[in-house]
Amino acid sequence: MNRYIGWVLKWPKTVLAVFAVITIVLASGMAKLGFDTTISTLLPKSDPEYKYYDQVKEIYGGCDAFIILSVTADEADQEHLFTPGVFQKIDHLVLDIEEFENYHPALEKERMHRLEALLGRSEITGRQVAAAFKTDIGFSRLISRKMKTVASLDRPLAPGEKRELLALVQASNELKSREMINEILSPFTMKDIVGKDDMLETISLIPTDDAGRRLLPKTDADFDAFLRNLKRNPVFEKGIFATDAAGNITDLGIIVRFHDISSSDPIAREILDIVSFNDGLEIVPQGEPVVLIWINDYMQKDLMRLVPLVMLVAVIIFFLNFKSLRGVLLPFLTLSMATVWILGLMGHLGVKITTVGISIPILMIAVGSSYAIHILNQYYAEYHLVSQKGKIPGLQYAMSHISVTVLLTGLTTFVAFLTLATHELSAIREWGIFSALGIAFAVFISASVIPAGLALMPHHQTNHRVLRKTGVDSPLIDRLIQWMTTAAIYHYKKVLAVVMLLIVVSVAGLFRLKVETELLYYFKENNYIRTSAKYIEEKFGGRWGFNVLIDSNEIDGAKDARYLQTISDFRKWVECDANRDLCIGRTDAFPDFIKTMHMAMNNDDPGFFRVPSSNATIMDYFEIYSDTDENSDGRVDRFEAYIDPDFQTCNVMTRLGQNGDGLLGTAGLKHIKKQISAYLSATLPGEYDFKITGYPLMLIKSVDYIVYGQVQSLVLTLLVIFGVVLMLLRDIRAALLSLIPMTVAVIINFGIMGWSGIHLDVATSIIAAITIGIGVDDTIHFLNTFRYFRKQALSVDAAIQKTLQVSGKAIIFTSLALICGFSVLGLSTFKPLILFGFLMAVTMVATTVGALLVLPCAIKFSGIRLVKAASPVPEKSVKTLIPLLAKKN
Amino acid sequence: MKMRFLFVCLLILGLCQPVDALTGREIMEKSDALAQPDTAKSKVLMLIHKGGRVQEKEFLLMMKQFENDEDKALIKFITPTQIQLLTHSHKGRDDDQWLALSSGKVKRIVSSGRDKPFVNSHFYYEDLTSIDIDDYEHTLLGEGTAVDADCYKVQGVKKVGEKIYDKVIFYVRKSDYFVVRVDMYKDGEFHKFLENHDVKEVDGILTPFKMKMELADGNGKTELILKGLKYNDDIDSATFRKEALR
Repeated sequence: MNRYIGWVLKWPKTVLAVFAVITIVLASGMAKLGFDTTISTLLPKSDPEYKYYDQVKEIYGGCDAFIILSVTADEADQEHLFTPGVFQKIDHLVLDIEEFENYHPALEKERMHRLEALLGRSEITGRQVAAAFKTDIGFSRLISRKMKTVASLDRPLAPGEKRELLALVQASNELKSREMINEILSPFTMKDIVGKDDMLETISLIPTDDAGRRLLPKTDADFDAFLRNLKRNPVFEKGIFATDAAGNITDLGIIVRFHDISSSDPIAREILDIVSFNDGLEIVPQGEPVVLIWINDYMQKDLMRLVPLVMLVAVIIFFLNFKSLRGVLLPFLTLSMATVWILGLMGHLGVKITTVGISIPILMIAVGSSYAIHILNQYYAEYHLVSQKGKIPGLQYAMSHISVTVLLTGLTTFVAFLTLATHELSAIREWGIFSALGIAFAVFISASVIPAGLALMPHHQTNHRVLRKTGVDSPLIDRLIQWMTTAAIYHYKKVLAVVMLLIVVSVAGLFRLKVETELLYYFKENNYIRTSAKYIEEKFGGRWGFNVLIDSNEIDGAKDARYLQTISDFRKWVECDANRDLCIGRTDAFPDFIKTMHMAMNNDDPGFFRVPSSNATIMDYFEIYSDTDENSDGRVDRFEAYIDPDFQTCNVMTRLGQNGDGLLGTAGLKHIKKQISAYLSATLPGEYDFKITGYPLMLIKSVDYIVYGQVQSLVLTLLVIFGVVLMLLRDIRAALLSLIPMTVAVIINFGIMGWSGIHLDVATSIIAAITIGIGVDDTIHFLNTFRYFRKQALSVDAAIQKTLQVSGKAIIFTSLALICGFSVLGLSTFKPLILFGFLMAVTMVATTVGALLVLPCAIKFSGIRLVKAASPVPEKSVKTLIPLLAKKN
Repeated sequence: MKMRFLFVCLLILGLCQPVDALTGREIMEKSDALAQPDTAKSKVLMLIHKGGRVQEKEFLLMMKQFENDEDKALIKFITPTQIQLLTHSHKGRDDDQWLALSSGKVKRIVSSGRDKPFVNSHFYYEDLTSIDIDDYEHTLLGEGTAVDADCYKVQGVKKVGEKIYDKVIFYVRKSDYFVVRVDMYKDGEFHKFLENHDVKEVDGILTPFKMKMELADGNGKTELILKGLKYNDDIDSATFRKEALR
């Protein structure tokens, strides 16, 4: 390290030039940086339960992943829902979504050829382009929708706009080719079987012509017929239409099911774009894919807006502390470079920022500031020495040792974060790898750019302002340090007693800490996301759900009347009023097809909407229920979400609502799972089995993994700190003491979360990792400096005092800057970010108090001396340890 | 739920007369000119290959020609259920179909959905209807080999909008102008193909004893195997009455 610093100081311009070049090269990667907000990065893919969930998705499709659109007439238009105008608009809405349901390569190729030819014309407007496809309504509307972001429809398109339009349409084609939509359920797309007057007929609720175009109702009689068909089948209520208390149909439902929620982000965004494009309708979109998009958008928007502000506030605090340009410029340069390097590298490597990875810039600000300030603080602490020895030799002397400390702290944090590289969740894995790399970058940059910058900047021996700062005369911080010194030296028992009390209170709070997966907790009750969820629950029974798989353990066992009746009985139980606490507003399952057929075979008598008692009749229904089977797996496409190809296991899909006015939450989900398991265990015939799986349950599993990852990382970090301190101080008791600050900080952090009702979730669990990053720094800085002063033959009390004056100042500077900086997140409109800012501030206080008050008090209390007092310090030790204020002492 | 008459398909594709014609249209006209038996009776084994499983269905097929170019057919499933389908085909209007459940309950089926599979097989209802030569524009593409025979390749491109296939390619055996293979294109893509195997002459009528409809992507196929066939036996007309289903 010494040789490296020597090299940096010898070639400062070269060093800065090289760093500038690296920064520019890596910065270009930031342009390539994308966001991966799909939930797949947060799912435990090796977990046996997840593997089963994956199998279920493979067999039944991602039936728990859906967007539900509640559609009604726009109040502003004062038009009734059942009018030709409104139906025309709904038809367009469905048509827009259907464009993404099936992919026809030949058709898309032909469309693109035509589009390219049209855009090749010298002068053409967007409207003319769309009009050229007027017989291909779906594509024509897609062009009109994409034109919204390109240019006005009525203006001739500029060459750049043509390219943009083409790129957007091509991107849509790419999305279509992924065929992410499993099925669209709506009154406009559904079919039914009717059987009046000894007839049996498969009807589309809205009939189509030979070309597949829907023949929308126009007259009152048409609408009456449509409503009769809609209301005939009990399956449709709360499925594709909703009613008011009087039984009048108020909303039509469009349910778009995806193959897999984990990759549904792009198609869900497209559907939201379609929703916003369809004017003249009141559309309430809901469903987990939509909620995920809203959350990520909120978070990204606010982070983009607020992170620069965090940096600005931190920089202002740097200035207030150092009162010099270099005191602002160098730390700012360091943390900016570290952020650019890591984000740029991610961009170049094609690694996308996940929901967890979004905290990396914040971590860089926190840890980057810490390293930079410690190094810069060393410069100011050694100002006199630098003046006396000459700038370069003085800097060499000062920088070498602090750089070693920074290297050690960085190495510890690096190892701590790298342990997450084997984590079950890919988002945490990537976070671990890139945070560790970011730490390495921050150390490398701090130890290079700051010495190089200082070497190039003038060093005024008579700089009174700076000279004043080298003393302990910053009123607020000095008073704080003085107070801590007094407390640590004279009142350490009282302090430890208070800390113990705090720990007890915090541990009590820990038991109140709730692990939460319910994303809606992020929003206030009056937020649209919450109100729309409530609306959808009231109208359609819920916005998400899980699957209950009931296995007959026999091929074709699902064609048995007793089995189908068992499923029906279970659904009846789960939806009954006595089980309102299960919050299941609706279920869908295979017996509905059989019941529908049975009703149709019995002249649409609603009394026959039940499972027939004869197995022969059920077998007949299986034979005559003939419909498309695109993938030729033996199941009619419409059966796929409900029954496996062996006709052995049925999938009962639940729709989950809310717990009264409150949200369900993780605890609620666990309760529901437990209740259902208990019921099925008690009532299922012995030959049947059941399993419960689904996206909400996987989220619970994910958070378990996140918490486990944090605990694992925390324990490993403590072990690393223990090892580093043991190696440095060769004292087991000291190594054990070093674990106290971070442990205290983490316990207090979680205690505050427990007492204040802040849930442990994906976002807040990251706080523990950042606590580690900062806590490690503070502890090692303190102990190393303390050790140095003890080697200088100072008594324990004097060494504590000196350590607090030197290291304490840097630690407080950093913490103060970051507390103020992260407080800016309080301006966010997004609750998780506000909480994140608050907890970051708490963390800063906790780690600072842990290192500067609890640690010295523990040293005093334990009687650890670290070195034999007044022993002469060999020359070699002076060089290898920290020679802080050697001149002064 | 359109339950059409399978036998039409067997005959249309199974019988032709050799002619010396070289244009696509002429070849198909001759192939289309089928001599039909007055009655036919057969047991048919249907093997549906889907998702790694083979479903077996067996049914009795009876058909009789009536006056005014009308024919009536009865499919009586033997396995896995005992449902019966009765079809009265009419010239110039929709067929009448009735379905009888194992319990004896009878319902008249209103036809819809030409692109729906017949009893969950790979045959669509449209595959089971007679092909009007005027529905397609025929062109002789050249020669090719299909089902181990030298054939003429005749392309038929959809002329009217109601057909579910945009294009079909017939492989017409050179030796006897018998159609041994049909490639079907849907939405511009090769969708599936039909092959006639084990062609034998029964009472002077060329008849394929095995037919295979296979998806172009190889994901599934349905085989029809005739297990005994009798032409022109006397079948009581009352067999084809709706009341006889109960």
